[in-house]
Order: sequence, then structure tokens, then C-alpha cells
Amino acid sequence: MSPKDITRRRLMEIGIKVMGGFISATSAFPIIGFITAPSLKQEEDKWIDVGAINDFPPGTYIKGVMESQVKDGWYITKERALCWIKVDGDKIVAVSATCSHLGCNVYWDEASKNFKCPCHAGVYDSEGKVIKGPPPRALDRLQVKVEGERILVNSIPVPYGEGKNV
Amino acid sequence: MFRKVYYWIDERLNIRPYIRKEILDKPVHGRLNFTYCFGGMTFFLFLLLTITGVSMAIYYVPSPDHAYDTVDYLTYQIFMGKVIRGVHHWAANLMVVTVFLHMLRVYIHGAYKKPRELNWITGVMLFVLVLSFSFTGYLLPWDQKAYWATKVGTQMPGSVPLIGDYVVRVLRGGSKIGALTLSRFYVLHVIFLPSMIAALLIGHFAMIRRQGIAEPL
Repeated sequence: MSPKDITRRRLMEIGIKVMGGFISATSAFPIIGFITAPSLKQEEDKWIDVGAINDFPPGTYIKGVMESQVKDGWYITKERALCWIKVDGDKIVAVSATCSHLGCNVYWDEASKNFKCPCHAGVYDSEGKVIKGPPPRALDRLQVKVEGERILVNSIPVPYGEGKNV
Repeated sequence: MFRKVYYWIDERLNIRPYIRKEILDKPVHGRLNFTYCFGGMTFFLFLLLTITGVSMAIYYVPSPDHAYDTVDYLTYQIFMGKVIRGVHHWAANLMVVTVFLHMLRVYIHGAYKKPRELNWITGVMLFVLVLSFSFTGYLLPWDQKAYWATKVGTQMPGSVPLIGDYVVRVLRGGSKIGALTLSRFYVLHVIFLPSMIAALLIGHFAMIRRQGIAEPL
């Protein structure tokens, strides 16, 4: 289209479209940002105290309760999650109790030395690897550190076989 | 892409001639000036208030325990929160101004006279709705200013003889301003008044389209 073809009417039309587009874009940016902002926020990791080293007799898995304050948007609330902790000399292992299938809490069965999930009969060995049932992968591990006499675990689980301190 | 979608719709509904006739090629009186824009400006502000209002409603919780926290959260913690709430605040203030100027223009031009009485009547109703929006929205942040302004505002009908006390109690949902006042003001602000204003706006616009803009002075 050469400039000659642009009538006054056509110019007005283009002007309306440009201004309309500008107004829409400048409104859309803050609106979309505002609506999606909290959804994109990464969860911050924190170290949660699960108890003193003496609370966990060595050699077997003992249930660890991870209680922490979480900021749920504008709401501050308490969150509770479970893990299984085994103290073995200097080595401390923390296995997440969250089943890799649909997220139920698994329990340690001392008799069979397996982790079992009550929801769909998933069975894991003492390392957290799947033996049978629907779980797609091994139980997650949690990073552990010892401060003084206290055992701290990290709130963000690490897939089996990845990361350090697992 | 837009062109393709537009043509696809046009092929089925034949909207192109309608859009030309009613929007792009619509003749308006040659002597119109900027004072004829106040109604349109009001409508633009109404659209801004709708989109910012709906966005904030995603975060807001109308309860005495959480209203202030959620407003604080959506203003200061969320990306663009200050902008969204600021636009809602200023658009609300400006809307009262533009509505008033629009009404003043119509009054000075005598545009409310026959055959446009019905448009004046819906206009006055819209004006009352805008003021009701302002009044109910003022309480929602649930801060000191909101609380005391609403205390004073809801007290006013109390001086009406006989039914005054009853009106005050209905407005407040009881004798005191509290949880019940907040939730009913919230519903008025985001459900009842918007549906009323939408219905009246359609009527207001349909009538001006049907009758045309009044001749300038």
C-alpha cells in the first residue's frame, strides 16, 4: 500500500487500532502479572528440626515429624509432614514419607524391613526403592544436617540418588 | 491471524457491514466537542474498574480476620499490586467526577428533554449506583478510615423518621459494624451492583444509539 492509497478514513481506522492495541497491551501486562505472580513463586527451602539425635535409636527407621511455619500467601499456618530417619553411626538417612505414587504417607514395617503405602499397597525396600505396587519411582530423600544435638532436615525433597547428604 | 479469525466470523455472521455502519462510518454531529466525551470516559473507567476489581477479588477475603491482611498482601507482596489497586482507587474517584461532568453537560444542553427522558432516568439511576459502589467499596480494606467512614455513613439514614433505625440495621446486618456488614458490603460491591449497572448501561447505550446524540446548543 503506497501512502497515496491511505485515505483520511483509513488513517483514522489505523489510529484507532494502534491506540486500542496500546491501551490493551498496557492494561494486559500488569493484570496478567498481578494474577499469575504468586503461582510462579518458587518454594523456599528451610531446615526443620525433627528432634535430638538421642530420640533416634540407631539401626532402624524412626518416624520424624517435620513441623514448620509456612507462609501460604497472606496466611501464616503450620504445616506438618513426615519422614523416616535412620541413624547409623555417623551416617544419618532421612527418607521422605510421601509415596511417589499419589502422595500418601508410607510407614516402616519393621517385620518385613519394607516401607509400605496404605493407600494402594506400594512396597519399597529399606533404601526406598520400589519393590512392587504402583509407585513409579523410589522414595525421595531429604538432606540432613546435625547442629549440636539436633537433627535438621531440609524441607525440599531430593529424588533418590541425586544431590548431596542423601 | 486476527484478520483470519475476523473473516471466519464475518463469513458466518456478516458483521462487517454492521461494524462499518455502526462504528467506523457512524456519522456524528459536526459541532460535537470534548464535553461529549465524559460519558465515554466514564465507561472507560468502568471497564478499568471491572478488570482491576476482578483481579483483586482473586486475593481478597471479606472477613474481619483477613480483609486487612489480604489487602496488604495484594498491594505490597504481589507483582504490580500497587498499580492495580492504585488504578482501582483513582478510577473510582475519577468516575464520580466524570459522571458528574457528563450529567452537567446533559443538563446544560437540555438533552434530558423529550424524547430522552428515559435516558435521563436511567442516567440518574446509574449515578446512584456509582455512589453506592463508592460507599460499599470504601469499607472493604477494613482499616480505620474504612470502619469509621462506614460507621458515619450507615448512621445517616438513622435520622429518617419511623424507618430510620430499621434501615441502619439492614445496612449493617445488625446494630454494629462487623463481620456481617463486611460480607454484605462485599456482595453488594462485587455481585449485586455490577449486575445492576451492567443491565442499566446496556439500556443507556441502546437508547442513545436509537435516538442519536442530542443536537448541540
